[in-house]
Amino acid sequence: MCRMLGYLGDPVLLDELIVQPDNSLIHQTTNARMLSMLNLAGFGFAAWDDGMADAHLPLTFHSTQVAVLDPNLRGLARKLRVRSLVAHLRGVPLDGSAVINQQSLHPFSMPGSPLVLAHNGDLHQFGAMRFALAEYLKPEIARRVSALTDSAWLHALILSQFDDPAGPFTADEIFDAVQRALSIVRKVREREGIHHSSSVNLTLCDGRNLVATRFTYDFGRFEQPPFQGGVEFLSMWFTLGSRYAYADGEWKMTGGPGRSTLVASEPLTRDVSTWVEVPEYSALLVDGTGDAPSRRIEALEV
Amino acid sequence: MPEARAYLEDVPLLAGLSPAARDQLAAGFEPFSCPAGARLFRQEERGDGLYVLASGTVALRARTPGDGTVELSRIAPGSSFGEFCLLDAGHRSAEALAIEASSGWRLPLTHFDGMRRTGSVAAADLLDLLRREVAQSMRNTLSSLASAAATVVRPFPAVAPVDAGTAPDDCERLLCSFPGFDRFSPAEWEAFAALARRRDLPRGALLAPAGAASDALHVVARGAVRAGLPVQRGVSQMLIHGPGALAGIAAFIDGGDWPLALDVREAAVVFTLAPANCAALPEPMQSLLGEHLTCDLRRLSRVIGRAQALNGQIA
Repeated sequence: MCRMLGYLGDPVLLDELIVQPDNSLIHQTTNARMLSMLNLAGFGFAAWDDGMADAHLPLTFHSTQVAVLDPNLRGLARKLRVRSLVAHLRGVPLDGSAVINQQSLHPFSMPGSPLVLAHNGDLHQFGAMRFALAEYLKPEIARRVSALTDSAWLHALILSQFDDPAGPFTADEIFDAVQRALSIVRKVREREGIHHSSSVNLTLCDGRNLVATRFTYDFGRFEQPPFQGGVEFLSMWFTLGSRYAYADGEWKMTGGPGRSTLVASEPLTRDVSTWVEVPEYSALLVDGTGDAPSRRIEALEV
Repeated sequence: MPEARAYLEDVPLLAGLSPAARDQLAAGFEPFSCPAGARLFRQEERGDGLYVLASGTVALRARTPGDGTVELSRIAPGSSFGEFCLLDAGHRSAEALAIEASSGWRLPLTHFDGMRRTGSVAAADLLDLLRREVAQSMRNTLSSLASAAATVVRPFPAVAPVDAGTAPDDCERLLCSFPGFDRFSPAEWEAFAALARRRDLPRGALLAPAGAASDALHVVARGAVRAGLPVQRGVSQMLIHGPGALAGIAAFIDGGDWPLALDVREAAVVFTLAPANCAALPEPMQSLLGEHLTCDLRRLSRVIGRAQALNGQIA
């Protein structure tokens, strides 16, 4: 279980999303409000801005440091202004079972492809599924999977749904690829006899489009509660506006519906009244390619 | 300002109470007054009680993404507001702003909780009225959602009648960890089990069709039940009921037809309670009815909030 956020819109200082708000992403390292878990296993982000070299491909940063203690991350956040962002705080069981290394940190990306993925949740018994999933990966993508984790393989499986992983994509194409990949995972789980609750909240972004899913296989199926993270459906929220900023004594989106969309595992402020939930078994699709962004909710028929 | 006791007789919310019950509750009401522009409570703060307005005007407003606000309703003298917190002690889903100088009475949650805990019949009667009011609010909310979602009438197969009776141990083992169910005594598990029938349902099974009269309450022990409006391309999901949740509460309480279909989104273990007799339920279950009903209404309000944020789109 982890925490994550995605942003698409007018340029914003990283500091204003991941450090400053009263429930900022790095604050959630130890004090997530909607998850009973510490998120100590590293941090990563992918960011896009027009001034960067190869602007369609993301700048990526990964660190196995505990995010709230990482001075490099804070230093970057104070200087970097971006128009698109996916950031992720990794949380793993506190039992030594997870591998902590750079390759296992989100968001996952592949050279030459703009599409990155961050995952909040876990696929139960993924070890039993991994090799069954391999047959659904394109060989050129399978060769480049850098980690053994469920999230890395989900990214590879989604990329394998595209004729050309280099893009460009539309929000609908990304959504369709996610839906096909989740259906494959459902089939493999069925084949392997896996029926344990497994959450797959995803944030995908290619710098111009953003898709955020809220989805759980076999939600509520477990032997005894509490299962990892609690018995509630794993949360995913979004807010809209022109600019995410500190105004009138609080952090919030300002300026009406605006061009900017911010999606996160949980609101970045304790006051959630200007945030809206992504519904369960659904996805938020944001197409930021036009003059005004198009946003809609689609049901995940998986 | 007239005395609370005399004034409360004419408040619609309390009209269904006996004079004796109203008198008992009136003793707990405290007067309030505020100037125009004052906030009686803020959205998201913990509810502090039920308000009855005697003079002035109060607007209930909710914040929207992008730092806007939308006015949900205007409260006129004789009306009540802020009542949900008596059912679930939850957070305010809107702010209450005095449009002009206003006054009235407030029944503090702490006082009401004390009455409830000591077995006050007046408190139980008010909770019963509140549950019915929330059930009606859910119907109103669903009506507006249904018109936005372009619902269709779908033929559904008949649902097999439910026979009551299952093992108390089975109910307790599967439910006792969830909030509220951890308050059940052995005798209350016996009473619950006498009304319950365990059903193990596959993904896609229909638990209750939309538009049918419902006389059953479904307690989800494992898996997920979806409550949705039938639409042209399938079901427009309104609520997901996971482990420890109750599905079909509003229709169970008021016995009316229910516009939502209940189907099994993920393979589920459900205890179905019949017949529709709230009074037969063990006491902790009565509290859960109010808490979960209010929670469902808050979630439906968020569906509306989301639709407004996305230009009226209902998924």
